[in-house]
Parts: sequence; structure tokens; C-alpha cells
Amino acid sequence: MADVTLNKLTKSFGPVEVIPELDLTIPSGSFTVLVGPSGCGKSTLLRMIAGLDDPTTGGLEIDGDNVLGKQPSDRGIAMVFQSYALYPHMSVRENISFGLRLAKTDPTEIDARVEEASKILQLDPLLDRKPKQLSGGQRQRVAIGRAIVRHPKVFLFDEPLSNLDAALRGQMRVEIMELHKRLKATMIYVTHDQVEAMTMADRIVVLNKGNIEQVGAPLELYDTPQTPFVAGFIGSPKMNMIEGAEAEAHGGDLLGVRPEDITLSTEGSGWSGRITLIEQLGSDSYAHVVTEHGAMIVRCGREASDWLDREVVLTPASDKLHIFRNGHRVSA
Amino acid sequence: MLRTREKIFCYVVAFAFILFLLAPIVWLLSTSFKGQLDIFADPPRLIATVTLDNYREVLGDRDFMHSFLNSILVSSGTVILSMILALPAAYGLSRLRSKTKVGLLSWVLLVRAAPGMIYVIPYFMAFNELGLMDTKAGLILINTVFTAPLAIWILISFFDGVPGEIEEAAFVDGATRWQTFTRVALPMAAPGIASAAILVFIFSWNEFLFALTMTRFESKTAAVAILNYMGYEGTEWGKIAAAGILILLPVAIFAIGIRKYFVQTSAGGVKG
Repeated sequence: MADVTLNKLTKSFGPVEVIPELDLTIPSGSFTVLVGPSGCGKSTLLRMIAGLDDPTTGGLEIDGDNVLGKQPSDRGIAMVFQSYALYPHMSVRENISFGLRLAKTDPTEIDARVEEASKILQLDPLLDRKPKQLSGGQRQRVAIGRAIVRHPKVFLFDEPLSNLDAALRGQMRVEIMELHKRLKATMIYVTHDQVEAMTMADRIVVLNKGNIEQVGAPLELYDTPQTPFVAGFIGSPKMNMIEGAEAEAHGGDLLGVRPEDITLSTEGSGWSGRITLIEQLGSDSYAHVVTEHGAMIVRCGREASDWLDREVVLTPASDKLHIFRNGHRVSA
Repeated sequence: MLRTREKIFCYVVAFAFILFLLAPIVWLLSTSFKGQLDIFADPPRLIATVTLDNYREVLGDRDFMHSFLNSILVSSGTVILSMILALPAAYGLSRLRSKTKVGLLSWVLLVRAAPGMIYVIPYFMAFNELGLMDTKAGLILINTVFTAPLAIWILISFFDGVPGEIEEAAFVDGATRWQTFTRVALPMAAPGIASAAILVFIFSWNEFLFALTMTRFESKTAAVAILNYMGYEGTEWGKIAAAGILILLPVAIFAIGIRKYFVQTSAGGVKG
């Protein structure tokens, strides 16, 4: 277990500044997810922690040690890549033990560690296979096994589930969370998928154009987003945003309300609109409503399925409104 | 899916091309089993009375067999030296991310593209001074000048095909650049190495100009030794054909034996 501290870290590629000055402390033992849209600098940040890219300026400490200038293997980290990055000419056993063999670890110790990792990840029957004989999920498990055997202080995951299908992604998500519970190691996980971030993290760092928008627990970010970007990025479907007079009336220049915090009815007072589409997800239904304040999405019951093309009234919960002014939250 | 007519067209074109390529070899093979009279029969016959005399005489010719052994040694040596030079060079050029890469590659290609004749005089004089005339080492050296650039160009594309993330995984695992090269990139580029080795071997095996000008007897290669059968008394076509087939054999065996590497891929390492 180790904490990771980024101190006034910046990164530029030529004239392009990818990460402006950034300070961040990732607590020891936490499962921290760096989330943001493509190109926000989250993978660059992870690669700098790994030692695969050098920061332009700033400091970087892992477990209190300044690791700038150190080789990736000397930083006490292990990394799982999006594309698995397995050695195709080696068996699963050789893939997992490669780092240990390079470090000239005692063969008995290597066997013990490989056995331990393969037991955790249920890789025992696959140890003598080559990567091309494995499914996507199994390959990613081998990549995780390769990380585990090195007993790193910090695990780095770079969008490890992006190449898997939806069902497998759900399963692997649970497996990685169980692994964190078991190893209690610091894990830094990069994803662009806010659902992954919400379900896996105990701490989320939302990045936008290389800047940290907000850091906090998943529900903290969901319930009290500090910026319109976080409000729009966290949550699916996205938070409804209203500008203009209605927002001004609530004391801001932007008013946000989540789909589940709006009540849909056919009569009463509120925002009037017309249902143009209903998405049936089984457990939930979402109505797409064109209102006087723009298009909105509202979570509704199954009874609303008969309301397509009807005029409806939307009533937001007054204590669930998110009010922003000049790009910052003004309400609790 | 190809339609039947398209398939037939493809087969016809392929067979016509193969026939065009193989016709001289079939003629050579046929001639090698003919007696002197059958070779000049009119009209010519593809299959005549089969005789092994030509092979018997060529295999019993100590000079030719000495040259044949020279060819094997020179070609193998050229493959080894070319690979020792080309593998790290190709890997380095493949990983180079600066604009000088294009310039360097152009220079490498220029050496290969220049006609061999312009090298003959400088090398002839240099080899005389260095005592490399009529030596296998000299021939290996001069062959390598031409085969190493060829190998570099072939190998670069294979090293380019090794995904960057796999190398980065090796760095994270604690590998140095050299270990990443030898233990990750090289095995993954094995099909490319095999392809390059085959082409270098074939080039060296068939090389004629330098073998003719830089050797006398001691290091003469088989390709040049065939000329011995073209004397003042006449040309011994049967022996030339038999010697030609013998020269062709190692290349054919080598190419067939190593064929599987051409289709080997690095599947499974990364998400395809």
C-alpha cells in the first residue's frame, strides 16, 4: 500500500499543453478512478505515474519517494493495459512470470507467486496456453495476473475493460473490485465510462482538458457536482440543464435536474411539454420530453408508456435542483 | 465470396503465371536428364531417355563440389553477418521517431539501389590491399553490403508491427531496452526474420558479379563454377543443366522448410 502524490505536475507535447499544473494526492489503499472524456489527459497522467512518459515540470511521489527519473520497474507499480499487451510468443505462465524472471527471482518463489495469482484469477487450467488460445476476458485476467505477481505498491489500470463486450465487462468489473478488497493495494483506474467509475471507485477524479474538475466519492459527485461539466458527465442519462429565465429565477445562470428528480403527470403545475419518445429499459422507462425550456429526459413508470405524443407536466423536486453560476455550484 | 467465373479466371491467371515462371526450370530439369543427342533433338522433346550421367559427372567433379561448398559457406556467412547488423539497425530505425529516420532509410536504400558494377573497382583495389581477394570472408563482406540494407527494409515493417503497448508492458515488467529487443521484439518479428534470412540467402547464393571478379579458385562459388562447363571445346549443356538443378535445390529446400514462418502471426498479444 502506498499513496501517490502529484505536485504541480504539467505535461506538454511540443506546443500543446495536455496537462496544465495539477496537484493530486491519491490515498494509500484507495480505488481511485480517473474519469473524463477522450483526450482529457487521464491516460497521459497514468503513463507519467507509470514512468512511461516524463512530466514536463512538477514532482511525483509514490509512497513518499520521489520517483521522477526512475524506471517503471523501480517505482513499485504494475500496469494493466487496454489492449492486454500480452507477449504472444509466451505461454500464460511465462507471461505472468516474465517480470520475476527478469528480476532473477528464485524459481521456487516464482512458482509460488504464479500459483497464487492463478488461483486468485482462476487461471490454473490455462497456464500452458498461448494468449491466442484465450478469450478476451481470460487475456485480461492474465494481464492482471502479470501485475499481481510483482506485488506492486500501486496498480495502474488503463481502460482495461474497453475491449470486452458488455456482459464480460460487468463480470470483470466485479472481479477487479474483489481483487482490490482482497489485496487492499492502491489502485488507479482510468476510464472514460462514468458507469465504471461510479460502480468501482471509492474515489473519483473527474478530468476535463487536463484540469481536475472535482474529486470525491461517487455519490458525492452525483449528489453535489461542483461544476456543470461534472453534473453533465456523471450520471446516465445525463442531467437536464436549463438556461435563461428559469435558471435566473432560481439564482443561477444554469439549472440542473436529474431525470429521476422530475415527476411526470398529465395535469398540475410545472414545466409543460410533450413526450416525443419513450425508452423502455425494463426496470426503468425514460421519457424524452420537449418542453418550453428545451429537450429533457425524465424517468417515469410503466404507466407513462401510453403517454407518447401527449402533453404532460414536469415537476422537479425543489430540494434536488443543482444551481450553477459562472461555472460553479451555488446551491448545497 | 468469389463467384465461380471469377474463381476460374483467378485460377487461369495464376496457372499461366506459374507456367511462365517455371518453364525455364522445367526445361533445365528435362535437359539435366538427357544425353547430348537428346538435348539437340529436332523437334525438341520434353521427356527423352532418362540418364543420370550428367549428375554423376557433376557430383564427381571435385572443382564444382568445392565451389558448391563455398556457396553454402558464403551464403550462410552472409545471412549471419547481415542479420547481426540488420536486426538492431532495423529495430532502432523502427523505434526512431525523429525526421532523420526518413533520411537514414533513404541512404540505406541508396546503397541497395546502386548498380553493383560501380562497387567493383573500389572493392577490387581495397580487397587487394587487405588480402581479402579470393577469400570467403571477403565475399561475405561484400555480399553483406548489399544484403544488409535489403534485410533492414524487410525487418523494419515487422518491428513496426510489434505493438508499442507490449514493449511498454515489458518495461513495466523490468526489461531494459536490450531485453525488450531480444526477448519480446525479436521473437515477435520471427516471421520477418525468416523472410529476410531467406531473401539474403537467395541473393547471396545467386550473386555472380562479385563472385566472378573477387575470386580465383579458392573461394569460387557454384554460380561461377558453372562457367567451367563452357569451354573452348564446346558447351556441356547436360552438365550445366544438372549443375543448375543442384544449385537450385538448397534454395528450394530452404524456402520450403522455412515456409511456415511466412504465415506465422503474432496473434493474441493485443486486442486485434
